Amino acid sequence: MSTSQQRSNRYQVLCIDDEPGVHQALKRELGRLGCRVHCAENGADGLDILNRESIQLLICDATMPGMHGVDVLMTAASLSPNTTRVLLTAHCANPEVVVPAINGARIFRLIPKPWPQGAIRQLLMDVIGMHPRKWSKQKDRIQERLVTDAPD
Amino acid sequence: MNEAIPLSEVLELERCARRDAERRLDAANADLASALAELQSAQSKLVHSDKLACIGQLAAGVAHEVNNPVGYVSSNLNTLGEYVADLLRYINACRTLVIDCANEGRTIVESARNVETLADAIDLDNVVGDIEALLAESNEGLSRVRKIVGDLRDFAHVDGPDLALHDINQLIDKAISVAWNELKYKADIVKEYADLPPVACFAGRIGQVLLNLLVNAAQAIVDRGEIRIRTGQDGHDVWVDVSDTGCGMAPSTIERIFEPFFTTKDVGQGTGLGLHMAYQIMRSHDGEIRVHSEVGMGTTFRLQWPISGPTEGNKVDDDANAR
Ligand SMILES: Nc1ncnc2c1ncn2[C@@H]1O[C@H](COP(=O)(O)OP(=O)(O)OP(=O)(O)O)[C@@H](O)[C@H]1O
Ligand SMILES: [Mg+2]
Repeated sequence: MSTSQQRSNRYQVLCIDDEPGVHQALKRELGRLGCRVHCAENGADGLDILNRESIQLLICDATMPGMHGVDVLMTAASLSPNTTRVLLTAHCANPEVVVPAINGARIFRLIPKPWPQGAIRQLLMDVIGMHPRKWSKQKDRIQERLVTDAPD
Repeated sequence: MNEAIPLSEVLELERCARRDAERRLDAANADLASALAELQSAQSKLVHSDKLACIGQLAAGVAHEVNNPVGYVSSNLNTLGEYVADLLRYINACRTLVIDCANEGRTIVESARNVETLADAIDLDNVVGDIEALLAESNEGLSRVRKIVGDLRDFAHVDGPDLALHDINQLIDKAISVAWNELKYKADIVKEYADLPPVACFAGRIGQVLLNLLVNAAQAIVDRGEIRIRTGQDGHDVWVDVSDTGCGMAPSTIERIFEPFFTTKDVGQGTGLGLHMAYQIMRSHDGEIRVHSEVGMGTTFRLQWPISGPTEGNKVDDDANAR
């Protein structure tokens, strides 16, 4: 068993976005839900990480220097078909971006930028819900947070 | 046999003809004057609509540029809200402990255990360690939004009829900021600014010219390249060079770029008014716009005008256009 597989008892998320501010914000949101978050500033670096680590969830920006996000997601689909793919973009209303993302890269979800409160948590609940037994610990963690963060 | 026409009659005929010609000349003059006025007003509308079109096109980019920081700042604020809720719970637990200590009751140990468990549950170290970074990043995001909105407002703001002294390097920086969404994926921006004295100009119009040169340069670059902006002083003139490593232009194209509506871009991409307006605007500054370009090598545009601004005549001319 490789070291990355040993570490993979935590749910691993990869965020590809050219904005470091977005990395940090997603790290905070997902970190609090018990995920280990990897970040890359462009498609090539991101696909490298996807190759090395066992990533369960990929959240990818659309417009970035170098590879376009939709192309990154398409490559990811063949490179690591079991990784759930999500497009996080301000171009949600642009069919030139959205149509190939859905039909070509077969993304699981399209999340707008700026993303609504709770969108990332809901996303995580839904992807984990697809493998409830494998990620039961993760699910407990989210439930825990749901209870503690609920307004009294 | 012809009857001789009396001289007085000949003179009268000639007077009539002359009066008639004069009347027609007056009418033609009036026609010309009104045509000129119409042209001038059409021209000013054109300048204005090109500026609006340009800003409209860029505003979409600016909106996108703003969505990134707004995205992570709102996410951070939500996280901060969760941190605060956790910290309040922790503070309450600590207060209970303090009160128990003061009362020296038997519950002290239990309260202390509660505090410790809570610290674990809310990941206290992480929360405390992250707050400063979260605030700093959020602040940075908000100042980015503030800056880009401010720069766009400066550009959209129709400048008054008066010439004013401006820092040209700063004006270029604002143009870059407004066009940033068009530029950042296409080019590395290299600035070589000289120390310049304050320059007299109509800032909104010079800004419009700079925007168009920057957007043109980015659109001329296919994959990725460099846009270099240099400024300098040449005697009584100031100059600005905008160079790109884009596709360049053939001589037959260069010949036509200042014509109104000349464009090689797709419908919807370009109106072909940008450089025509740039030419008009530079003329209204008693200045000029020059181009040097080679196919496959790139293009340099130079703007040059007197540091003291245009003379009175052009200023009046410009006033008329501004209406
Ligand atoms: N930096 C450049 N490199 C190569 N070609 C250029 C460059 N700048 C302008 N051109 C050529 O000149 C033409 C006219 O430019 P102009 O700015 O007047 O209009 P446009 O960019 O096509 O449209 P608009 O500015 O109205 O959106 C362009 O279509 C392009 O062919
Ligand atoms: Mg143009």
